[in-house]
Amino acid sequence: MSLFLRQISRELRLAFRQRADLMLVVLFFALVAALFPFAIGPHSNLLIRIAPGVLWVAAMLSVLLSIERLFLADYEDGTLDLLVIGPLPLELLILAKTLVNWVTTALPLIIATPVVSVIYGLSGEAVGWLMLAMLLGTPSLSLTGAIGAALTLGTRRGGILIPLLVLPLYVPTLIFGALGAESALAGLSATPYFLLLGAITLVMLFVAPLAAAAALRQAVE
Amino acid sequence: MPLLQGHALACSRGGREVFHDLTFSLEVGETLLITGANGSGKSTLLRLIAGLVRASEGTLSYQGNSVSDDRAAFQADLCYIGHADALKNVLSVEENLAFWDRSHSSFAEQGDSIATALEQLDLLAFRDVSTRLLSAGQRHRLALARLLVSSASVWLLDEPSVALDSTSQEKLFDILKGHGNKGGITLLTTHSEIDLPRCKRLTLDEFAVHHHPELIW
Repeated sequence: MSLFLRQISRELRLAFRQRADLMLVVLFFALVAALFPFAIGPHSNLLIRIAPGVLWVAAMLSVLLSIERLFLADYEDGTLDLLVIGPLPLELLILAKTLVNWVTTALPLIIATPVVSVIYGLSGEAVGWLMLAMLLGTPSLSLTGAIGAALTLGTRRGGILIPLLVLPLYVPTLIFGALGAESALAGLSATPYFLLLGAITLVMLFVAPLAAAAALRQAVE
Repeated sequence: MPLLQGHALACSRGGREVFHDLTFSLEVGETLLITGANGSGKSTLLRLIAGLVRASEGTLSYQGNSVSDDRAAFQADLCYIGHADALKNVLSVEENLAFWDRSHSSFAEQGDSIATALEQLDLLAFRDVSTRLLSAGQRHRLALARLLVSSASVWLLDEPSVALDSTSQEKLFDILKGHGNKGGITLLTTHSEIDLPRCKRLTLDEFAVHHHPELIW
C-alpha cells in the first residue's frame, strides 16, 4: 500500500510541476464547448437540449488530449523499464497513474463545467445533474484511455491511434451520460442511467489495469 | 555454488535470434564484463536478466533457484541502469534519487543515504538543483547513484562508463570494487578496457547465430 501511495505522490508531484499542461486541457475543454453555440446560433431551446451531449463530447476529447502522455514520458526516458521490474505490481502502477490522470484532468473539467455551461444557459439544477453524471462516468474515460495509451506505446502515430482505438469505446459512456443528465432535467428518473455509468466505471476499474499491464509488458520487451 | 547462473540462454528479437546457447556463472563478489560488437545482444542480455525481455530458451538461476519461479524476489534484489537515464527534468536531483530509495523506512535515514550516495558521485552540491540543468555526465552519475541507494546485490549496468570523465570513471570503478567486496555481483556491458578484481569476461560474438545465406533463401 505504501508503494502505491508513493507512486501516487510522485505522479501528483510531476503533474503539479507541469501544471501549465493541465491548464491547457481545461482551456481546450472550454474552447470546444464554446464553439457549438457559435455554429448553431442563439436558439436557446436548442442549446439547452444539446448542452449535455456537447459537454460530454468536449470532456472526452480533453481527456484524450492528456491520456497520450500517460505512459509515453516514462517510456521514452526509461522510467517505465524500472517501474515494470519494480516492486509495485504493474496493475497497481497503472491504477495509480490513471487515478492521478483523472484527478488532474477530468476533475478540473467537472469543476469548470458550471462556468462553461453558462454559454448554453443551463439551469443550476441541470448543471448539477450533468456534473454528477460526469463524476460517475469520467473515471471510465481515463481507464479506457489507459488501455489505448499502453497499446500504442512504441508506435509512431500514437497520438492519432489512441482516439481511433478509444473513442468507439467511449460511446456507451456518452449515451448514458448525456441521457442521464437530460432525463433528470425532464423530470424523469435518471437513476438507471447513473447506475449504468457507475457500472461501466466499475468494470473498467477491473479490466483496464489488466489489459494495460499486458500491453505495457509487451511494449518494454 | 554460483550466485547467478545462466544456462543455455537464447533470445530472439523481431524473429531473429540474437544469441543462443549462452552460459555463464558468477560467484559471490564477481563481475561479468560483457563485450561484443554492436548489435551482438549485450543490452538484450542485460534486459533478459532483468526480466524485461523473455528468453526463448534456457534458464536463469539465482541462489540455486530458477528465477522464473519467483521473478519478483529476484527483481527486488537487482538494480538495472540502462541507456536511458530515467530522470525527470522537472524534479530536483534529490527528488529524482529519493523515489528509487526503498531501503529506508524513516525520512531521516533516507536523507542520510541519499546524501552519502550523492557525495560519492560528486553531486551533493547539486542536491536541490533542477535535473534539467545537469550536463550529460552529471545526469549519468545521478542515474548511477541509484545503485548506491538500491541495496540490491545484483547490479546490471549498460555501458556505465560512457559519458564519464576519467575521475568519474575511477569513482565508478571504486564503487564497483566496493560492491564486490560486500559480496554483490555486477554484470556490465562495455567497449573499453576495465580493470576490476575478480572479473570474468563474456564475449557475445562467440554466441552469435550465424545465418547461412542459403537458409535465408
